[in-house]
Amino acid sequence: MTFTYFPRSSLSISTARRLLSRAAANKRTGGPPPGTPGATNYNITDTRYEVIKRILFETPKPELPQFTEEDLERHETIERAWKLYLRNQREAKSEEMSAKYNMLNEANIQLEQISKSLFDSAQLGNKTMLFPGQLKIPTETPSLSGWNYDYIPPPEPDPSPQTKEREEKGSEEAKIIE
Amino acid sequence: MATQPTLSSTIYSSIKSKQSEKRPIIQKNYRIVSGIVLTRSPQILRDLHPFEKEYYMYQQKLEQVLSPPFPVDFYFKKGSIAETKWKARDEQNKKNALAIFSSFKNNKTNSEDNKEKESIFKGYDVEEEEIKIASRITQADLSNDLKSLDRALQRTLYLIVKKPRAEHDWQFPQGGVNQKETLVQAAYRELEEECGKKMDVWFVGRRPIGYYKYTYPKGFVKEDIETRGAMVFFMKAHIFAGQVQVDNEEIVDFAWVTKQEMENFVSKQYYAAVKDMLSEF
Repeated sequence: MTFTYFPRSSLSISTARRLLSRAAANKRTGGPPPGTPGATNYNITDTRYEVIKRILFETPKPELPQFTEEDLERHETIERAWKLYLRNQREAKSEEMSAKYNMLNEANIQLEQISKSLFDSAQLGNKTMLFPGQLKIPTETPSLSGWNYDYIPPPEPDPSPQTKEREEKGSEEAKIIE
Repeated sequence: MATQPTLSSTIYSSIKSKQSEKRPIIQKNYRIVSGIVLTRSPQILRDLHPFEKEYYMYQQKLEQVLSPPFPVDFYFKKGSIAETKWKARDEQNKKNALAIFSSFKNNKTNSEDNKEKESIFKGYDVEEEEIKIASRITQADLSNDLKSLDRALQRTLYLIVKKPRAEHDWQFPQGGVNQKETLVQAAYRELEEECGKKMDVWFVGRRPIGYYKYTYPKGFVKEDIETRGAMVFFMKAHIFAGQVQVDNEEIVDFAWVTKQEMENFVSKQYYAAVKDMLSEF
């Protein structure tokens, strides 16, 4: 029988000992020969092993205090109150979300009726869009430096020669029309 | 104005509109306008509700009572100082935990908890470096500075601007959409024109999040006599850094307010039309 590791909670001392001893008996005796460098003397009867096995495979029973009916009632009331609190939170959040969605939906429906070009450009998705790295998750405390008020936008990169040509052509045409 | 060369088309590659024609779009005698709901998201986690705090304490104590005993002889050397410290702390924790059960109720309740906290902290070594932690309540909170972006760090703040007129002066920044321009492009352009370029702003997609139709009041100066009013499509954006710079022509003043505070600034009809887009907290 291959040894399977049971969690601490499900094994008693006697069964654990039985399984371990069986595993030890089935295991091929040997290992590195005593003379090899690095081979330590693994003596199974060492008390450290007993201690480790006890820690890993035994679950000592907690000393439970005397519970009363009053305790149970109190516990159940607390749990019910908590569940009610969570439910209220969830419902409030759901209402907020649905209100936002309704606004969004109505706006887009109106836009479709008003202007087709604007609507189409608005519905255009972006399959390669990524969220910006600055979208920070709220933390326990704010940063020591606070809000960065001294933001300087990065300079616009020089346009490629193609766009430059296009711009020049466009301005020339405008001059001719005028 | 040049478009930024990009490998993949992002919303920003198309955000800068070509300054070809500046004619406004008018449909059915209403001017099409794009408004900007510029949000500063919460920077810190919310404070726990008192009930939440109590419940979590209760759960901690239950766990203390119901968990199997800790193998002290495995982790601590017999007779060491660490062992004695641990045992003392453990005993104290157990006493506090058992207080939740009726058979162990003593007369000392609150004073015991306070003593518990003190004793735990004394156990730590003073040699450890002091970590500097910023306060959750900032100077801006105390002085109630409405222009500050460090105020109300737990809440969502929205930008509202003041126009130089008597009625309906406070509103979200907005501006007309021109021909051959998309809603996002118009929004970005108007935000730059009205509130300056010194803000790191990101627009959430291209879809409008809200719609508000209004007619111009009687005394209003119109470019085109036939336009009766405007239809505003609101676009959502986030601010990450920077601050608003008032241009003193279209905009005279600004404020960063929460949804509840906005009610005091903005007109009733506007608030009623706009409130559903905004976050409660």
